Amino acid sequence: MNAGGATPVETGKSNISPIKEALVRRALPKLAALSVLTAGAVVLSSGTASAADTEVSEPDTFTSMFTVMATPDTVVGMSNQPAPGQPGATGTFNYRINSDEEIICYDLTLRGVTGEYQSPARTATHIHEAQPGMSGPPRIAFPNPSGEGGTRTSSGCLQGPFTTGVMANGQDTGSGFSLREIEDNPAAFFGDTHTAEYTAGAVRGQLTRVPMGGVETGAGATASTGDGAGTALAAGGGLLAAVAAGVAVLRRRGARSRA
Amino acid sequence: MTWRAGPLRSGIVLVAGALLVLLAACGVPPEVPPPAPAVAAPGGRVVPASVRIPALGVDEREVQRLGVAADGTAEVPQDFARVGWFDPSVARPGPTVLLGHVDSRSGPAVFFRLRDLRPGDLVEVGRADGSVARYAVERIEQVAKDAFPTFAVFGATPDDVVRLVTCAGDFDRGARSYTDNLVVHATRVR
Repeated sequence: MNAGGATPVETGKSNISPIKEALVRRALPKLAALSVLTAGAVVLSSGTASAADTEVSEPDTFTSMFTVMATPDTVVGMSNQPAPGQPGATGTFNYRINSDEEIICYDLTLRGVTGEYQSPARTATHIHEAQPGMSGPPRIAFPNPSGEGGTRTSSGCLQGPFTTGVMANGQDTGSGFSLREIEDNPAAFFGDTHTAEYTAGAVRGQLTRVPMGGVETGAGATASTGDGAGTALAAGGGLLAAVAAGVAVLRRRGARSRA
Repeated sequence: MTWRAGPLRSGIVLVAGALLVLLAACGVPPEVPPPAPAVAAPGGRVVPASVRIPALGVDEREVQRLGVAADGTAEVPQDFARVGWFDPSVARPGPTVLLGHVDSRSGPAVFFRLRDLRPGDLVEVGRADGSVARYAVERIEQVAKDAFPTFAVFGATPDDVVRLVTCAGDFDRGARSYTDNLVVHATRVR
């Protein structure tokens, strides 16, 4: 089965906007068409592509998250020489990893990338292992983004062990790779996508870690909850009275902001 | 004598004993290295050095650089009076994410009035080279922390935008944490 035609898994989680979900749904028929287009490339490539990289549903938890701002100016060729990608194109690649289950969920958006994809790998959209300014082998091959107009998207979750269809030193460049390696040193990996016109890459960017969960930016002194401020006044004296007054003000503001 | 915010609600004022440690709360930062001023970064990147929000009277001359804490959450300023900048640690275009506390254990903090911002209000970010980038507030959203839109706040974007984050919602006394975050989205105007 060639992963280029794999159906993205609808994650259905809140951080995927309804608009984006709609885009993904619209993209499905196009993805199918792409799989036909890329089938030929698979035959021409090493032929080692095999069943792996299973499309799975989204796990309940993640151990890390990463984002990529992919741009044309950072693309390099096989000899690490600058090989600028498609002018004006950008990619935002968001990855959520559960390294315990070896699952990576991806939300990829390309803007301004045109033309057909092309890569010796099973798909043309990858995470490679290499420092900035250096080329390096692909470790994961994602279903190529697709869509109408100037925006292409691809979303879903893949479970390793991973294969890319690219052979190096007698084995697939994904073999032996673990998502923990990304967590240990995200800056040593980059995301990119390759097209027929920009074979070295249309856009590229290094991975950076993003924080997970809410941001702990308050200690509660002015919290607008509860109803015990009145009794606190009796116990606390003047300074508490001042604080309580603030609480009362906040309650009114809170009510407004929630309205 | 001292007290924590929690007892205020229940009406019980706790007298601080030797064992009354200042407990982790929605404002007590995870363990972070000593604050480093965000005035220079490797690779010659342009980073925010100061921030002004005229509508709120916020005028921070020095922005503290922040990263990801050991537990995977965002580091926050240890000083409730200071604004922090999430350093993405890579040279790239992207959002400028500024974090500040809504309150401390004893009163309002630097982003106390963030909720009062309105579309069109200006946010001015000063760079180390002396230049000032101006952003206009576009929208304000309150989001539950347990459904925090990570990539809508910290995710890459080709646009020059500022995202301001503080706490909001109810204060969970048990968890000593606010239930929500307030996120202000602002876009570059000049």
